[in-house]
Amino acid sequence: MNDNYVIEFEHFSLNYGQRRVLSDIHLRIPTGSCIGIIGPNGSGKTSLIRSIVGLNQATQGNVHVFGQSPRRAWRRQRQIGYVPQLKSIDKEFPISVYEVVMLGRVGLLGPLRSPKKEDHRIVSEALLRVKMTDMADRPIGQLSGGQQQRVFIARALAQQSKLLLLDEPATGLDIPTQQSIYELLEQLHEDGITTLTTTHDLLALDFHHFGRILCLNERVIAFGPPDKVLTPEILTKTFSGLPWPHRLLKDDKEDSCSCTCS
Amino acid sequence: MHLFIDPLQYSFMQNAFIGTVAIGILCAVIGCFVVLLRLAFIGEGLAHGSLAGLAIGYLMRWDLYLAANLYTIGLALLIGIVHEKAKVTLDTAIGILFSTSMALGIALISSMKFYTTDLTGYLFGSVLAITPFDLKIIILASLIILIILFLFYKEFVFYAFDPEMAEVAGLSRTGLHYSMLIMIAVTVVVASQTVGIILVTALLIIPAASAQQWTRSLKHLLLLAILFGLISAMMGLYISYYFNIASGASIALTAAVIFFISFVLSSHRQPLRQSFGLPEAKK
Repeated sequence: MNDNYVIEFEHFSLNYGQRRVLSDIHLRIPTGSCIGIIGPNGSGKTSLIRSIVGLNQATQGNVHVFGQSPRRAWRRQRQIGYVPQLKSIDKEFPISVYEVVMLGRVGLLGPLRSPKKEDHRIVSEALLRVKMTDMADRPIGQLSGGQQQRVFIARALAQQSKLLLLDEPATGLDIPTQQSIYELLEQLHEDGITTLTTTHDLLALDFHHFGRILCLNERVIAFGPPDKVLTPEILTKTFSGLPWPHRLLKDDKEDSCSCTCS
Repeated sequence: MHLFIDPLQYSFMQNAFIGTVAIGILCAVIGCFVVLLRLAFIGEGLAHGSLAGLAIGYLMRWDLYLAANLYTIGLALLIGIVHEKAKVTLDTAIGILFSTSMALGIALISSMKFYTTDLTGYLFGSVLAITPFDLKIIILASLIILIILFLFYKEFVFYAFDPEMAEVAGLSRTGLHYSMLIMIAVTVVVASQTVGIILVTALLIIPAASAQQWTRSLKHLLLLAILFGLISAMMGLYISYYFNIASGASIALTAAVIFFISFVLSSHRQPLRQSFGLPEAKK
């Protein structure tokens, strides 16, 4: 395994039945990087993320996470944190915010073992990071979408993963919640955690938080620092000619630039 | 007090009492997972489908419990496989297989020359006919299932709340799914002696649904469901004894009364709670 790269796609292709969703992805994600994945709806962003956690199996080629197959990487090291797209949950499910975050420890604990003091400390810390400590005892069904999303991020953090995958974490959330999610990404980057964040909503995403942008539309259109990737030609190609916001271009974004990660 | 103690001097009533308590607890606990996993229909389907297992057991002169249990476990697994492989929803798979199985059961029973009391006991519930052997099976099955749920509690909760993420976390989604189906199958067969296969869903679903009216904590939900399951089963047993009605019906009706009282008094009906002097409900 090459320690410099946490994820390595080698000519990876994925079909759903007869339909090809990802074609010949050849990509290496450097350890500790902060990656933003953009592309229109149906461009394969979620499929790419699901392939990394082992929920999709390659039709051709392969993907290695920590130098191993995703399932093996998970089973051996449990180092992949995954926050799927916010979906409607069973509002009546009798489970508190704290208990949901503790579920992040279940895979690590293994069967027949109950959470120890250390697990409770990790869960409390994860809740603190997403600013949800005050809500710990609330039933998850009572929370707003943005609050639920923060709880699910805390659940992934409770795994203490070295790799965190966030699928559309900001979509549908208000501006302050989006901002808090991006601030959290910056903190995670400072802690040396590799993060991959997808979005189809270009207005919701602040690209300046990302060290590298992956433009995806079934294939890798471009992968590199925002300055190099966010060009009219590449964006037009990524979004198949659909309109995209011009504020993404370098000249329009300088005055709103904040901290960057590499 | 005599009303409760006097009947217990008969050994058949002692068997019925212990069996009912065990089944009340087992159904309540499994019922919580059935409700949370939205598997109410499979409980109903397996219970009705088990009729064929009983009929086969009766025709072959096998032990009815054993035959019905094995048959219903097979039916549960078949429902899971058809759902997975035949690209149909779980509800559709249940609909196809339980009706087929029930049709087989009816066909076999209708071919019998005489109508058997053993089988009617299973259909409508005959708690007072529980034999010491039945009791052993009820207690053994209840203990095994409750121990499994206790040992793998956090895994089943994760699976019930978010099956996909449970799989990502390294839990066996298929293993948890099928073991839950098997436990539901054994529960409905074991409980059918008490409430009958037609009404077994009542003891499986109603105590859990009643408990849901009061709490949003899973541990409280389990405890309340056990309490409601026990009240339903025991009151139903005494009503069945004193009024000579089928135990399945009296247990199901008692459970239903508890549900409607819970529904009316729960936090959705705050003013009523206050008028009864109950504290404000926490949701």
